[in-house]
Amino acid sequence: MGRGDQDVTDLLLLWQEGDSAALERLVPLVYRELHRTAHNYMARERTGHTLQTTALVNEVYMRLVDFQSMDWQSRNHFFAICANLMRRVLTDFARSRRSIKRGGGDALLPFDEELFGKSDRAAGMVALDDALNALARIDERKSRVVELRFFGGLSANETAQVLGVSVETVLRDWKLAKAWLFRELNRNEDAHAT
Amino acid sequence: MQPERWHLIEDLYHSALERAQNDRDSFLRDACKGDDELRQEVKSLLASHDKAKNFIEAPALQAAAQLLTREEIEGQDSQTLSSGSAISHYRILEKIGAGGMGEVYRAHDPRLGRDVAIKVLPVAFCTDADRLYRFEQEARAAAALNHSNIVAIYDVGTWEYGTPYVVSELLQGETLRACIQSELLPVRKVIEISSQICLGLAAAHEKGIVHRDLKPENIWLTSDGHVKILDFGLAKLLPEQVRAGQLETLTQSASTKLMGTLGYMSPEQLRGQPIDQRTDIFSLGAVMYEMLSGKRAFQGASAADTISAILNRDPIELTADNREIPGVVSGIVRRAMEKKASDRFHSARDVAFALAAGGETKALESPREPDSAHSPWKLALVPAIVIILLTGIWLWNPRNFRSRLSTPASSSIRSLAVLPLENVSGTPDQEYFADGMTDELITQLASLNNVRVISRTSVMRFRSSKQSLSEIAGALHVDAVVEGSVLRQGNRVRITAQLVQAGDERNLWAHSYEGDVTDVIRLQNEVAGSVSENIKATLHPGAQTQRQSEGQLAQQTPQSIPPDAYDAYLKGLYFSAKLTPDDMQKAFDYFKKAIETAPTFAPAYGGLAEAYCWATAMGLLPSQVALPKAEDAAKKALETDPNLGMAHHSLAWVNFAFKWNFPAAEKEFHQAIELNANNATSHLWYGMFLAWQNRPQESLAEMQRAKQLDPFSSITNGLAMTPLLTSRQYSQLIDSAGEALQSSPNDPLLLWLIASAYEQHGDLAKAVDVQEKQAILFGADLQKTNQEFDALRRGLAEQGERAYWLNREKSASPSGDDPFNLAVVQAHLGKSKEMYASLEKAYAFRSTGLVYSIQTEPAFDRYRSEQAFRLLVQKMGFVQ
Repeated sequence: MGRGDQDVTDLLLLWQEGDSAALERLVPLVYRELHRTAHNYMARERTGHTLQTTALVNEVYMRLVDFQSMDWQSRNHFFAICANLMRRVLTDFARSRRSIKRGGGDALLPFDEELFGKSDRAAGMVALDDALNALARIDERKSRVVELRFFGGLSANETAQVLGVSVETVLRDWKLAKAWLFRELNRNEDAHAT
Repeated sequence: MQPERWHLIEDLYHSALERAQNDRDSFLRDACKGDDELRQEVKSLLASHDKAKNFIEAPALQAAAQLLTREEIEGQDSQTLSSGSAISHYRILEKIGAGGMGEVYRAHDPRLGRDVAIKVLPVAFCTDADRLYRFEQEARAAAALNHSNIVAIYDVGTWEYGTPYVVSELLQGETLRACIQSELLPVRKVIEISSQICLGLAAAHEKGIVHRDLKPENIWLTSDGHVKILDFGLAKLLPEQVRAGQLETLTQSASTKLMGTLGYMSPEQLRGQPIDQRTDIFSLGAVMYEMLSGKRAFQGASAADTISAILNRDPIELTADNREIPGVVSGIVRRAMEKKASDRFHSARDVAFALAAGGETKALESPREPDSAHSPWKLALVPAIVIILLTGIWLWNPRNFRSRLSTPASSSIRSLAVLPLENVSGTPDQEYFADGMTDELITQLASLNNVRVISRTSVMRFRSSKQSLSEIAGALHVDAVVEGSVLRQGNRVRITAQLVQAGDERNLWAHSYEGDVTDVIRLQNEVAGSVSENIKATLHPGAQTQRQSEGQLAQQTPQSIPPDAYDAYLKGLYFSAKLTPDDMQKAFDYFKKAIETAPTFAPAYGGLAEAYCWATAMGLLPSQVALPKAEDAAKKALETDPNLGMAHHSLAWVNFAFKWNFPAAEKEFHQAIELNANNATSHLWYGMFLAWQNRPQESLAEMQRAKQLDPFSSITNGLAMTPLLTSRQYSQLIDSAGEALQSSPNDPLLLWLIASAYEQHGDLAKAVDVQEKQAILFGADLQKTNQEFDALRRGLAEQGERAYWLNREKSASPSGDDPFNLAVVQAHLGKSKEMYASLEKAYAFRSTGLVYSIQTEPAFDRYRSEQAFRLLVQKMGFVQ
């Protein structure tokens, strides 16, 4: 795919405009980049380098979309689209693993061990997606902060730029959203357990 | 929830977080003013905040990446199938093993009433339909192999979720891994096991199947002493990234599981480069290393370390260990594990062969380690010759050749080139041996009289050529080529040869031959016999090879030649082809050495005789010295083998150039050509004889044939112009030689021809220019030469031709030069009396110049009618 790809850029735009066929074509491309980046990520982890998570994510994006030729507004726009796409892809991925029922997404979410016990951990990702939808109904911006940072892998600074708010706001939103989501997931787990 | 309330919660939450843990409760009680629900809400969020710690802090991508990678490597945790469950119609009995490549069950096949092994592969292997398809193809191809050293595959298929499975024979015994974990194997067992692995690999490689994942876990030692290779082609199912050498990207746990495979992977495999059968040979080397030393050839603390070791480091020398491992065996292992695929053995059969040869060495004859009594490895006690039998001594039987023939050629083969056999012995000093084999093969095939076989000197230029076979065939104007390789290990030889049709490069026939160096003549006969059989099959009906040639091939009954003698003979051929004084001396020494060791080995005498003749033809040795020796050697050769062509043309040359017995010479030339119409030297020398006998038309015909047989030899091409000189076609000679000079501007023979042409034609100024160049090329002092030749040019310009000849007369050394040369100068100067004196002298010295040129030299034209001249010519044996 090289440094960015006009096709991907077009597909992202089409998808954003509501063309669902574009998503079908996008997902395999994103998967491919995910795989590649995943391996790179592991290499860095193994060699003991401190992982720059934003760099990792940016690497995926840079491969997907030709950001170089975009102005910053478009870039922000695309970061947002990408984060949303990533959320979709990763949730679907977890969902598919859950349905196979042949073992699951071990350590898919870096949740605390006791939180989900021995239950199907891929469920955590799916539950998070649901919880994020619930959060959006209360406070859409916080939901988007999570989407951009967790699924999109953006830094607080980048998130602030995309959303057009201050970094402090992003950090505050993040702090509350995180607690809220954690509680939400924990509550669901309790419900399952009982 | 009302936005206002949400904002309230948010404010309280952040305000509380700013406070110390202990103060938060009191702060909330004050702030919520009795709204308990609000207080509880914020409180529970604060509790979650404290617990959440790393929750969603790392990007989802990171976790997903981890999962994706691990899933690809390990496959998803597959559930163990319980006894009584079924896959297709197979009934699962029990789980008998598990590994990175899936789980293995003992199962019952009710249709055929037998127990089988079923390997169920991880589901992750089935995510790529294309990969799965290729796996099935490969597994089916492996199933078709039906080789005793490859586990028999009965069935492949897919099961629920598209999970692939493989049904194979149920083996009793243990894996090589289990075996080497418990004990260090005796060297002979290692050789036996390795040889069997080689045979299995060879069978697969010949069908184009590469194992890709050979390791002790994939090699099974059955209770009845057989070695079986498992999981052919399964490695192809591994995810691309794993195969493409990105193993360093694995998580620790995944890579630990894969380390088993990793340590046996070839450098090209790790680099993700294209692989072929030599990858398996590398893995085999690593397995052998481990069997011999008990240690892994490549093992690092991490996957990255192991990879680095494979790519960059040689394992500790096997012989460095205190265990006694024969050098030949450690050499084989080292060569199998060469970093560059091209430096390794080219085929598994070559390894098997080397092992068989190595197994015969003294070091193995007295085993130091007693075989354990309970060992099922009875086969290990059988001498290594059994391996030879297994690898195909049956090939010796000529009847089998025909069965190996592929479809007959569409067109007939009337011309053939044997390309230099490649020396795959791994040591450059065996080059002469491969060349010798090539030469011998050419000689043998040359006896097929109605097939033109290109001579050695013209094929040698294609050694390691990058050109395609059809390009080479085109350059040599042949219908087919024979190419192949020679592997020599001690006294064992393995020749691989194939006959390829030009044009479509269709492989008409291919085969390997093995034997002892003492039997090498027989080997060559077998190869030549097979090739000629095949060629005969391509000739159109009615055309038959002459009885003579069939007779010759049949007559050359295998004889035992001591390896030393054969080596010396081949080295003699190698050096004599170079035609430089130093190399000729070496050639004489080697031929003599061969004769000393094997006094009845006719080709060694023949080689020596021919070398002496060449030395005189090229002016390296005087006839009086060399040609009596040549005669002696040629006669000795013919005592043992009356049909040795090169002995006959050597004898012809002696009769012509030294004994001046022209009818005898001609008779020997005829006999040499009758015996072997494809020997370029026979035609070339006969052509020279005819040219000097002033029979230019016949000479040109012989020269034409010599050039066809040896199109790229500068010597042949140069000497083939002799009839142009003797028949005084000067302008044509100058054109032809000038053209040839463009590709080799310093060729002394061509320069001599041109200078002679100018001189005889009377264009002395040009002759002087060429002679000057010759003198400088022969190492004369530049300044002195320039002065001399300038004086010559001045004399020529001022006083005409006479000055030139006078100068020649002056510079002729009375003792060193052939008196015939002086006679020519004196003829030009009209000094008749001196001329006859010089000719008499030349006659007394049996001058070669005299016998060559007396009949054709233009300078003598005005004397030919004189009585004295006619008497001389008559005395020499020329018919008037």
